[in-house]
Formats: sequence, structure tokens, C-alpha cells
Amino acid sequence: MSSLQAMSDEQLGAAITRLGHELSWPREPDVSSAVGDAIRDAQTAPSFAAPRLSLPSRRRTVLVIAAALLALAGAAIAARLVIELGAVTVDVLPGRPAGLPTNVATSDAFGREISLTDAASIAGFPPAVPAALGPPDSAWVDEADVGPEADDVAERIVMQWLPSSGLPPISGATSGAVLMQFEGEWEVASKLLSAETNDYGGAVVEGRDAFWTTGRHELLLVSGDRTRRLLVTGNVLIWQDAGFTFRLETALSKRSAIEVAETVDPAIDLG
Amino acid sequence: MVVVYDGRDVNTQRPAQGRPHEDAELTERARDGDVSAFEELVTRYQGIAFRVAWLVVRNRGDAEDAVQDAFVKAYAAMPRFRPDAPFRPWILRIVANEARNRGRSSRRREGLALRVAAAEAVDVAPSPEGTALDRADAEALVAALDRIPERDRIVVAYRFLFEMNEAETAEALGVRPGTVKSRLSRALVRLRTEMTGGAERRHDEEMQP
Repeated sequence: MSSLQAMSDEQLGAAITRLGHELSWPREPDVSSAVGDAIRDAQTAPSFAAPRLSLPSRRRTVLVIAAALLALAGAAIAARLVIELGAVTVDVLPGRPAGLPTNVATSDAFGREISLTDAASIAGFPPAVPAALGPPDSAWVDEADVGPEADDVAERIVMQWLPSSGLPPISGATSGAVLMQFEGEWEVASKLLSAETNDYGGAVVEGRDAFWTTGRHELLLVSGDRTRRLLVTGNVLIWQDAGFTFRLETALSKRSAIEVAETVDPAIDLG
Repeated sequence: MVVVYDGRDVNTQRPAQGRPHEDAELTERARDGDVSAFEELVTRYQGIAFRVAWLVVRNRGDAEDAVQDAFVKAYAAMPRFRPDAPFRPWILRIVANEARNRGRSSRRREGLALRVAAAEAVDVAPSPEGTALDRADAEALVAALDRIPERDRIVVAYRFLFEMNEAETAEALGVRPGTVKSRLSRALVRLRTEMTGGAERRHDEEMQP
């Protein structure tokens, strides 16, 4: 142990590199044919909006079913519908909601307030600010436990804009817009919609599948190891880009919300 | 864990014969819908992709599923792939995300191990730079790599096991290069802590009557 403990970080790194050549790894499979077949199969299958490609599995089947049902946006459904949208899962329940929470999401539900310049170093990724809205009035970081180890966390950044000209207030809230940027695709938020009281359906943000819903509904948001129940009163657009899931809540129309979403650029700046 | 190693460089697996196509040419063709070009990219990067997935899920079956799904998703996302961007970190980011999405399955978790020949050797990696490891150190290091959190293990793997530079690591992790430095520094601290803890645990076990 003595030689390892005496090494500088650089030497330890070099030792790991050398060790890497001596590691035993499981033999890697050849998946090229399976991948090619799955792509070709998907190209010949009917699809919702843009093609959604995947290998057959129980989880992916849910998506395909969801996509087909989404094409019937607004139609009454008789069974529960689950739609997976990266970090956010949408549950559309048949019938009317049994009871909505009374708390509209406020700043204390968003995590630790930070400056926008600190957001990247704290969250580990840069905040994707919509150019259409400009710098937010407030920003927060929070993390959700996604595994048993201390570092098994999924970070998120929440940005808020106050109402202004062209950005009407969200009903019952002080915000004009709230954008949540979730790291990765751990499922750390879910929305409970009612097939009878919520309008929902597909949307397209820069050619990518997106989800749009209006009407009061419940948002379950994981913060640390707790789940908060929050009332959502605004119109919500959800989409994925560059490994992030975005959730934009506003009082804007679908078309205007999409226009805002299309000015979000999460491309990583390698500087 | 099964001890298999065939000596190939899995960072890229180039065709044995003929001039290999450049990644940029293949990605451009794939963006235009050429599935065979994309299959060539799969062949080229499935080795390192599998190792990344395995380091996340620690199970061969889950890793294979994650890699397959990740490549299929990547093909669907090719229209959004920047033509001037390197393909390898982009696909590794998708692979790691896909592996994490699978959560923790009930399948048996496998651990890192040394090759049999290396484990039996006295000097695993003699070097003139003071990075030589004796067998005990090598085993302690492997065990520590196994125990540190997945996020730390991945950044150590990208930088040192797969020898990716800082910019490529940053892109694969989806963070800024400065964040790679801080994450790596933190990971090495945890690695040292684990090595110390592992040694103490072994010492305690040896002292047991």
C-alpha cells in the first residue's frame, strides 16, 4: 500500500492506466447486426411524429403504445397511460383526479437558490437559458437520490422568469415562466394527468418529439430522498435534448411555448 | 468474474483489411440514413461502449442491452449530431445514460478483476516513472476502483483506463473541462480513501483470532 499512497495524482493516474492493460473484462458482444436490424425494423414500422427507434423490450413497448395513443390526443381513455419522457414520466389516469394538492410550486420547492454563474459548477453542467427569455430572474439547483450510494444523485437546475410584457403570469403563481433542466434520464419527476380534465398531446421541438399539456394537475418532484406533491396550474411543454430533459411551464400558447423551447441550446461548450 | 482478455484495443476496432473510413465520413453517411455506415460505427465503438455500460451496471447482460439500445437511440438522434463533433464521446454519453436508466437490476453484480497472468505476477506494471505496482497494490487498486461510486469510477475510467483526454472526457460526461478536473480530483481522493480502508479491513481480518 505504501507505494500507492506515496504517489502523486499524476503518478496514480499513470499507474491506473498501466493497470488497465492488465484488467480482465467480460468479452464484449457483437451488437452491430442486432442494432442494424432494429433500425431497419423501426424504419418500416408506423410511427408517431418523428421515428422513435428502439429494441423490443417491455419498457419500450410502453413508449410505442403511448405514442399510438398520443396520436388520439384529447380522446378519452379507458386505461391508465404511461408516457416516459426521460427524467419525467407522465401518468394519464382514466376519470377525474381524486384530489389535487393545494401547493403551487414556489421557490422553496426548487432547491438551493444560486446565481446563474454558479449553476454550472454546482450542478456539473451549464444551465441552458432560452435566448427568447434571456437571463432568468432566479435560479436554483437541487438533486434527487437515484441510488443507494451517496453520489447516486441526479442534478437539476430550475430557472424562473417573472411576468413581463409578452410573458403573462401563470395562474395562481408569481412566475411568468419556469424551466426545469434535468440531468440524464433518471425518472425523478412525474405528472399525474386526468383523461377527463387535462388536454394533452404530442408536440415537436426542433424536430424532436415533445409533450404538451394544459390544465391543473399534480407534479411529483423528487428532492433528495423525498417526493414533493405540487399543484401545476400552467401549460407545460416537455422535451429532451443533448442528454437533458426540459420542462417549461408558462401561460403561453403551445405555439409560443415551442418558440421559446426552440431557443434553448444545451450544447456543451468545450471552451 | 470470467477472466477473458484477447489483447485487442477496444477503444476503436478498425477493420483488419482495407483503409478504414474516417468517423466523420461515416457519421455524415449515417446522418443521411445510411444504416450500413452506422453499423460500421457500431462495430468500431461497441467494445469501449460495452465496457462503459458494464462499469455502470456491473452485469454483462444488462450492459449488452444498454449498448444495443444506446446505439439504436443514437441512430435516431443522428440528425442532431454536430458534423464537426467527435463521435466517440457522443456515443459514450448516450451509452452511460442508457445504462443508468436501467437502474439497478436484480442480476448479480460483477466486479473488476486482474487477468490471471497479471494477478500471479509479482510486478504488474514496472515502469521508470515510479508507477510500478506490486501485486498487493494492484489488487488493492482494483478493489478500490470497484468500491468507489459509479460517477467517480466513470471519470477515472475515461481519463486513465480508456486514456481519453480532458476535452473528450468532458464531452462524454456532458460537463465542462474544468468540471472534469474537479470530479477527477474528488474521485482520486475517494480512491485513496478506499485503498486505505481496504488495507485496514484486511489488517483487521488478519488480526482476527
